[in-house]
Amino acid sequence: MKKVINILALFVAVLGFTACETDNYDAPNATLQGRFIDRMTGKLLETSQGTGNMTLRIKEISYAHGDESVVVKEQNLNVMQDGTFQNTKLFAGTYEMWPYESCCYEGQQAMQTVELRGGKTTEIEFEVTPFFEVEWIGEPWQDADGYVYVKYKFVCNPLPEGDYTQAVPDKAKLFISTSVKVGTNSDSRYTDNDVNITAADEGKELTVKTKAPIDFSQKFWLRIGVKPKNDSAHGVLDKYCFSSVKTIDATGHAKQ
Amino acid sequence: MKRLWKKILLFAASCSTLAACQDLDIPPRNILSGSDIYNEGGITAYMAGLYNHLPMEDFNMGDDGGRGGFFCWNSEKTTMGSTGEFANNQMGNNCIYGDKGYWKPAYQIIRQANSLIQDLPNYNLEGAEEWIAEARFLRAYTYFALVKRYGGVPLLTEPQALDADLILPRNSHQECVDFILEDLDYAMTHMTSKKTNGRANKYVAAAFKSRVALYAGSVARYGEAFMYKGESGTQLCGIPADLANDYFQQAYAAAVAVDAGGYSLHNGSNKRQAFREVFTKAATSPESIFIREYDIKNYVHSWDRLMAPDRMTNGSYGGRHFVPLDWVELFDGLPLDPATGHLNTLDADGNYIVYDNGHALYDHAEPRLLASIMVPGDTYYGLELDMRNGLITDAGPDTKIKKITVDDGKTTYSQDKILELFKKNGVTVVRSTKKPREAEVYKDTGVAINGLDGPATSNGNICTTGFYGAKWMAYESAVPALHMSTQPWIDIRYAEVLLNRAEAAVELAQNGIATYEGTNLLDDAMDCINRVRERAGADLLTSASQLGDTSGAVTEHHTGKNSFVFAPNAGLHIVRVERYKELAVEHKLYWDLRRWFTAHEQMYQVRWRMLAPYMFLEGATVDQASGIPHGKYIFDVRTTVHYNGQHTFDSKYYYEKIPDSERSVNYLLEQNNRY
Repeated sequence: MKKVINILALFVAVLGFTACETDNYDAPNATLQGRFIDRMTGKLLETSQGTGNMTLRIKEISYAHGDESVVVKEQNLNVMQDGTFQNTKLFAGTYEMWPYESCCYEGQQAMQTVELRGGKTTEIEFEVTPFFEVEWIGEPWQDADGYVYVKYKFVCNPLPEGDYTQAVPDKAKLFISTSVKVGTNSDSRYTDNDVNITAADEGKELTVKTKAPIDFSQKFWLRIGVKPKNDSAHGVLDKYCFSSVKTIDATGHAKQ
Repeated sequence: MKRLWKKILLFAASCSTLAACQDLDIPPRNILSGSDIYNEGGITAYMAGLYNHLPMEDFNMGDDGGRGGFFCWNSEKTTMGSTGEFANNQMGNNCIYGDKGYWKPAYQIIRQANSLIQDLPNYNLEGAEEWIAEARFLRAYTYFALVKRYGGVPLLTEPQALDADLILPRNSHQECVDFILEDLDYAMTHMTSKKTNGRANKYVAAAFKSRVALYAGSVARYGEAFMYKGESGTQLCGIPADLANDYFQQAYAAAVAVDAGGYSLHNGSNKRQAFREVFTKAATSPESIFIREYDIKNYVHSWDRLMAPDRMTNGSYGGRHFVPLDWVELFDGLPLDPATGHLNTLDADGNYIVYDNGHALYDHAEPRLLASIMVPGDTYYGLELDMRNGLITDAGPDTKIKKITVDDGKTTYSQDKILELFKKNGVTVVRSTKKPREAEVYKDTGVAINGLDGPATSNGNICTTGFYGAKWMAYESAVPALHMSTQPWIDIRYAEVLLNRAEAAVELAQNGIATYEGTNLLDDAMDCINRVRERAGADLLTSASQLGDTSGAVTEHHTGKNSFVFAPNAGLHIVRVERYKELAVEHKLYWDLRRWFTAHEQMYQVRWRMLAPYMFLEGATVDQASGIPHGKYIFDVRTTVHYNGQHTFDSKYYYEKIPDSERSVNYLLEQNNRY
């Protein structure tokens, strides 16, 4: 008898979880692909993996159907180290998209309105102007004590057309990592604090080294970042403009 | 069958008792009406409720999101960890921003204050004016908690009705500040002058006004790079620079007005004791202006249980209050290297100086420091503090030992590397890999290798900087259990008012206003600072022109005495360092760094530095009662290894993120920049 009651109770409980209507909203299945292009070089923008150095900000405008009292929050999407991005799980709809919290002058000025369709792939491209171009001079090398050195130079990019404020170079850093994904994430054993730079250093040959001698022989990935003085009131954020990635097969100098 | 009938009858009978002849139309007794509240007792209770919810950053300030970080007993992670005044292993390297979306509880208080301000004049109540003034103080206090976080917020001056349009835009930053100042002016005029612990009076309002206006003046003068206008065109963040002097004048005048309340610095001939008593005697000290009291039955905190050294809590919480060496070096009476501002424990040849005991380094230190940190050899919570990173086993105190580490604020050494380097310099140092409180002894000597209280050679909540903080702690007795501490919190004390006054005066004097109502501002600033220093036992300023010095910006660490604290010139540097020393661990410095807009530069790639004491085994004697060895010491100064990364303040946190949940119900609420 008790069993029957239990079964009945279970039946009733399960009934409580049913609904008359199925969830009629399509699963997110639109794909967005694209890239940031450095306007000065025409190449892909050098940046850092994830959202640490810049993001792609998107805001769905179709959801509110023009009703301004409906607040739609922005989403920040990851960007890959080489300036490309891809997201395969977005809701279909019309979006505004723009580079955000980035090492480039353009923010909302570069906004594009893009329609994403379910099951389809949409490609977009942004032309942006990074504050600085950072270039290698020669190859990285190691000194007798085991420190890794690099030579580089940077140039301040001309302002794009529009209402922009010139970025003032402030700090530079050698990022070194045991992985190819070197960027704002790097090996804290060897990545030193920033060095101070000024506008007078523009175009000069500059040298920077690791914080400590390399302990063990292995391959390292290296990158140089230059960033401006923060002036967020005028759209200049203290985000690194990166060089391309180079490698070195370093020799270990740990005392045995 | 018979029984079934009986049941049905019984059921019917019991149903009939539920019927009634009269309709229920008496007023509900659980809802208070105006006449319940607007009498002496009612308002007192109403007001007490507002005080209870006041966003005061007290002991119960944590990193929990529930109530914006307020009223959170676990205070191990707070914004104090982002300034250099406070460290622990729970926070590690992270800058804590306290951006917990404090919003809703603030508007609840504001609504209640607004209701009172609106309704009270309708009831013929004696002293109504004072109550209204008090409500306006509480409203101002709450608005300031919002404004210092977000910049401009929607200003509500009366309670919204049920059918009111709840969609409101933010007012400008400046409008909000002016509104707060206006409330405080009203409170300064109409509040009582009677002092009651835990409750505001007109002088509390004045003291608070000096804080708000100083904040506003600083934002105007230093916040230009972070100003932000929303799409609506409202200046959401930032105050026009040309208003700076006006706010500094208001700050100065308000600070001067506090004097009429008869407050004074708690002083004493024993300077260390005097500074200590500011906190232990908070309920009776003439220095306390606005405090929050605790009571075992109503409102408690856990400061002692959380913050006491690990051994003294026997590993149950504890070990969450360390002090970075960089902060200790701000104090007078320590041997410093003038080039770097770092503690110098070496002789002229670069060998470690041998000290007669573990606390000799502090023998001439400023008393205020000794009241703010725990000193080895002194007794806390009934136990003698014992600090030691290792034991020198094969060399006597006569041995010359060259410094083993580079103290540059960035190079770190593992504990084993340290032993290796000592070996290279000719001596053997041993360390314990056990917990310090387990007191592992060296061979059969009975001498504990590691200090019983650290610094750590193992993980957990063991001191990693070489210093435990002592401020606020009730260490005269054993460590109370969790939720059993009741010493009062001081939100505003006279020393802060003096330093507000000094800072405002220096800001004015350096910017074209030499006198205020006949007072020479630099002279007055020097007098204020020297009063604070005199009580602290610190070196006094000798000339007011030091404060007027607008050269010598401090913008780089490790470049001279007090270079841990940044400032735009030498005069302001003096003021800012004084605040760092006096007001640490009082939830003040983080907001100072934010209003000075130096946080993103001063707290950039910073690693805490540490003091590592080593004792010579030779000549050491063990106190049989405590098990603590006493002997001769050397001290190494270096970057602490335990935090592998660096503290970096992200400049977007000068203005915090408006909670998304609030934006989704109020579409006019604009978000701050960079969120």
